[in-house]
Amino acid sequence: MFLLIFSTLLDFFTGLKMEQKPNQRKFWFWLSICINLGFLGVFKYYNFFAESFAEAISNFGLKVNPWTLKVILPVGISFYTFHGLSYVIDIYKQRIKAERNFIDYSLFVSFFPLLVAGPIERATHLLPQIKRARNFDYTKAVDGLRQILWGLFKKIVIADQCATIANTLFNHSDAYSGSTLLLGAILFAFQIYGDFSGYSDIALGTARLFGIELLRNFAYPYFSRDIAEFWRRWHISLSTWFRDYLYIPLGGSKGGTWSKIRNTFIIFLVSGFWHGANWTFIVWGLLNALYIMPSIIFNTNRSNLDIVAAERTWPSFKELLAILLTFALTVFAWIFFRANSVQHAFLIISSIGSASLFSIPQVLPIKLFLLLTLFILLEWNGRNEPYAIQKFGLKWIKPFRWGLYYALLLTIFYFAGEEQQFIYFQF
Amino acid sequence: MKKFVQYLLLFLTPILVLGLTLELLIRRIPNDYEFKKDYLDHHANEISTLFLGSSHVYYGIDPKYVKASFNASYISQSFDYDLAILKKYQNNWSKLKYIVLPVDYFSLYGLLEDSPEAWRSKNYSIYYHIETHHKIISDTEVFGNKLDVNLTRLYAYYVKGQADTSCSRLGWGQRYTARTHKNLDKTGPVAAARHTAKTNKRFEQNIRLLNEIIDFAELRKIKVLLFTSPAYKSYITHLRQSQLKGTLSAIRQIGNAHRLTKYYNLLNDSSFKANDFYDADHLNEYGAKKLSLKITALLLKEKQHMQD
Repeated sequence: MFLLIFSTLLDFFTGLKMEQKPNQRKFWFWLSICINLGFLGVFKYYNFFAESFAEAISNFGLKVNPWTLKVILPVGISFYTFHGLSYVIDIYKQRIKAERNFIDYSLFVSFFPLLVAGPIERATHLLPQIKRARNFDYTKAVDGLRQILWGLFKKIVIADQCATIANTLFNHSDAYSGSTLLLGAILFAFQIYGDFSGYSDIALGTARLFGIELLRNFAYPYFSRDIAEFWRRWHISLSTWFRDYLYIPLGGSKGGTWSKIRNTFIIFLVSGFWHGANWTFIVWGLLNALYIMPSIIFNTNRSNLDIVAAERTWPSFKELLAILLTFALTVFAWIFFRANSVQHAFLIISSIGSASLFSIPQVLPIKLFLLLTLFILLEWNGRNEPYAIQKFGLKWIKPFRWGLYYALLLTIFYFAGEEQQFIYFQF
Repeated sequence: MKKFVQYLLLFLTPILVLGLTLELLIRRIPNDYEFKKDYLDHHANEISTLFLGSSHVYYGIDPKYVKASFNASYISQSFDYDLAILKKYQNNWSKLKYIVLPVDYFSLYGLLEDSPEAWRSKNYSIYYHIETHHKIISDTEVFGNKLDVNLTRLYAYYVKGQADTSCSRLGWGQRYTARTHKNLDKTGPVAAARHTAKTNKRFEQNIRLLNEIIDFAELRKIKVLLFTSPAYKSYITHLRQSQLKGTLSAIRQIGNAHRLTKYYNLLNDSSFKANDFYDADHLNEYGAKKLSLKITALLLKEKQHMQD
């Protein structure tokens, strides 16, 4: 709480100072950047650097017992720090004026639906909505409730059910065959999608009840036909944040192929590191950078801008293959994201690559497979909308439409009970 | 806004009605917690030996072998609930002479709320009216259990006529029978792993709670008999030595510090054979009889010792 208040006060006053004293703009800008990143560095990354340093010098026969912080990572620090940074950078770059109302600014930083796990908002998008007088809008409020319902379904029915099995398989990976571990990795892919996009749906729906539109965070990423498209559809608010505040300032796509390759590696490395102080996230980020490299080199990274089969019911065979290949690459990268260490990830991968890949999985959750099939079909059906059930059943008569919502609620209650923390709360 | 609220209430009303009906119907199903509370409400002033603690006592001590006794223990019941039960009936323990309480390998390292059985805490709130945690939502049957569990319970009681009660008239758990026993070699390592603590964070708190129980008893001149429950070798050999030593040393210190408190370590007691166990850390009806008689003998020994 102290950090949140301090960070809010710091960014609010440095924003004002940058405007009031143009000759000291640079000083206030760097002061804010250094303190914000300093807090993030100390609370999130200090232990990682201290332990990695001790491990590195132990290779030279020197033993160091580094002093480590015994504190829990402040909830939401990665998110509200990025809110504040974008605000300060936008003022420094003179894209926006400094906010003069502290209450409005505080609400921008700490608006409760997005405080702990995003979406990462921009002052240019959220502050004008906060300042504008809001009138209750029945259609928007109902739409918000519908999105909350879908978010709860994704979290409790999809993510939490996948988590129960994925956690067991990853935590006891040595006891399972390659085919079972592959199944575990696929289930984790659905877990993290249901968990994080479910949270985002709940946040967006809740904000809409208050008349506020938050940035969209997910756009059916598992229907992507290449990795570049995947990254335009996964955690959109973070990807665009890195694009606007890191990739473009580094030179972006200007300056030739080598420059693009370097900048792409940097943003994926930082993106991996943003998720947590662990080599697993860094490898995950670098792996995604490698995946995207061919499309950067051959300039095909913007070849799939629209949603797949937008005007058709089903994808073509080629599109389906592209979707499956992209999904397979993503699942492979998720193994590093989920594993306890890089070594653990390699053990899982070597097990998947062994002859036991062709055995029948030791775990066959038929009920979960049926649920996932239903989920994929609903997502596919709603892929042209901001969330899958936005238009689903809207033209039905009320008893049927409400019947659908009751059925979703009943399913949520049926599966509720296995309490699983939101994955992105730890970041 | 008015239209929104009206429709929202209209939409939510069937859910609320259904939820409340389920809650009321489930609460009407007789269960062990309600049974034990009712027994203590009416008979606490007749009890001279009270058994508290977790499933090791619930299944391991049958009060029919111990004169004027009652088994108020239950599955995963930790010291905070043992103390709360004692305090709830603090004015009713007029004849209470002995409190028998197990201090097992896991007892000092966790509380009910930390365990996978944490959902049981709602039962103390609903049926015992004991409030150790204030979680209004999870202290309900509807939210405290999964829907399929609740539907199964409703079906079992209202359709098949089966209640949730499984304990005897004196509070002893009767489900762990020799006939339905589990593989002792397999259950030992699993139970030992489950009982091995990941953290020491509850240690001090549990020591404090145990001392509070003893202070409560000593104030009323009630003797406390602490013991470590017998277990099968497959369980004992998989225990982490540091945790076991920490527990034993703490209990011995407590035992030495209190005149009216005695401690007995029955963990390796050779009189308990394989056919006394339901699984590697729980006794069956034969083991329960053996332990109950052993406890009776220890209580008699204490009585004679005090008279001498």
